Amino acid sequence: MRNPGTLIVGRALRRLVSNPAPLLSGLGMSAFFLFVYDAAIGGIGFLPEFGGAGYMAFLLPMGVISLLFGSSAGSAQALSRDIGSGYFMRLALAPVPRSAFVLAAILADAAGIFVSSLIVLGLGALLGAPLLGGAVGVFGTAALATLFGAGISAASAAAVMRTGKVELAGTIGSAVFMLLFLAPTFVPRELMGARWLQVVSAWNPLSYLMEAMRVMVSGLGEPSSVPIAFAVAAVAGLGGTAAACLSVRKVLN
Amino acid sequence: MPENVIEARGLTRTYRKGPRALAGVDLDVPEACRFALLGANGAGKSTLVRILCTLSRQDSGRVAIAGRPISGGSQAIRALIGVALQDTQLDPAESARRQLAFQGRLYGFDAARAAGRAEELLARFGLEPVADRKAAELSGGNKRRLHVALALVHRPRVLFLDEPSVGMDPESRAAFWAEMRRLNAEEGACVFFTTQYLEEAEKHGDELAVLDSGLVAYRGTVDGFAAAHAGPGGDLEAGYLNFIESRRRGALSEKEAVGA
Repeated sequence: MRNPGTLIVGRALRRLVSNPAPLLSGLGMSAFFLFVYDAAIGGIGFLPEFGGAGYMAFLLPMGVISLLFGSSAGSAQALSRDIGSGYFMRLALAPVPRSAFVLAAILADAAGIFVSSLIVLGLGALLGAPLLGGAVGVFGTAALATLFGAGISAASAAAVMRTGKVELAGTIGSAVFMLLFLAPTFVPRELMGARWLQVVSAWNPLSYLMEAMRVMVSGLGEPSSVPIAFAVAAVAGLGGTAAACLSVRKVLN
Repeated sequence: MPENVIEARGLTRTYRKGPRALAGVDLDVPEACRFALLGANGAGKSTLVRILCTLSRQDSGRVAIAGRPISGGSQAIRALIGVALQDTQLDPAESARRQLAFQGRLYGFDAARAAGRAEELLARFGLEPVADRKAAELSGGNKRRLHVALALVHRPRVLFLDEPSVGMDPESRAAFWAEMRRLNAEEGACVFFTTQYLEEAEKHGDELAVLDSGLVAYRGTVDGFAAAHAGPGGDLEAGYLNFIESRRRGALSEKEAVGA
């Protein structure tokens, strides 16, 4: 007998493949940003603050992070479809933990984000970013994106389950997207013109994620940002997942 | 005296910003019976069914299914019950065959057994010609049949059906009730159903309860209820209408007494 958990995750993955719009929109957004920003301001990459690896090496983590904003909406959309059709109720009557259906949707998103991250990193390499961190750097970066992306996915799922509004599926991602502009996304902290932006970026969790990715992918920056980034991503991943699991009862009651 | 497969004591439930749906329901339902739950719209039938099948929680009171308290582990209880609520609960993107097989796997069947059970139910519910169509493409009647078939995959000991035959054509309805009678007679399943069609309750129920204003206003056999409230030669419908009318009158005169 196959474990019901495997079955449930298998269903979530099949649904992700049959409804790839969130994944494709994330990938499209990511590729667009990489091309456009590199074309627009890539000329500043010669400055010593960029570490000498070229602007694409500096910009690449932005591509990985920005794909999360589309790709992490899949679980919320899938759960919303199940809730809307009433099928979620049917699943909730099965003798398995109800949170398994929510976890499966989040895991499917996480799998999609992991694969998409590898694609974006491959695209970055094609555009000239040196992947000096090798396979460890590439998979470490994908793992970090996946952990953080799972948190956004779970928080989006929780929002949809608590409110019943599928429109909220992308809202959490959009809110986090704004943080991208308050982080050392396009230039390092020391080149930020406004003092207030430097202060905000020091408190912005995305700053640590991007700096850690630069360390892992291209060997740029301080290695101490890597454990901080994994801690931030773990808090987001576990916190979001807990919120999503606690929201199941709201759907039923 | 058969054991009770459902035991509810003092169930209350009030919806936020809504009315009090249950006001202290006590109900015992014996093993292997066909039990009809009657009541007007808003009497609390659906709320009671949702609590009994672990989907909703009561504000107070306790429930046991087959001797197991719901609060003590609803997963074990969910393995014993089958549920078909008023609105169909189907995955619109999956075929009838795949949904039935998946349902079997969720209840622990291996792939071969789940597939076999799916074929059996497709045949029994006349769904073979549309077995590979997505649920979204099925007619209303076939959706309803699939909805009920999904509740039966794991051969439940108690089957909860909330307004099960709504939307079925007469032929489907007759086949559906024949299957319910067979389940009850051959597999010993307790069939607990709510209905607005009193002739269904009369024809297919052994015992009944009438919910009124969130309370069990009557509990007994179908024949006993008709005999007590319909008068000589009267049927269940006449008895039910007399019963509800007399309760309304009683409530009215109580109000008048309080007002006086």
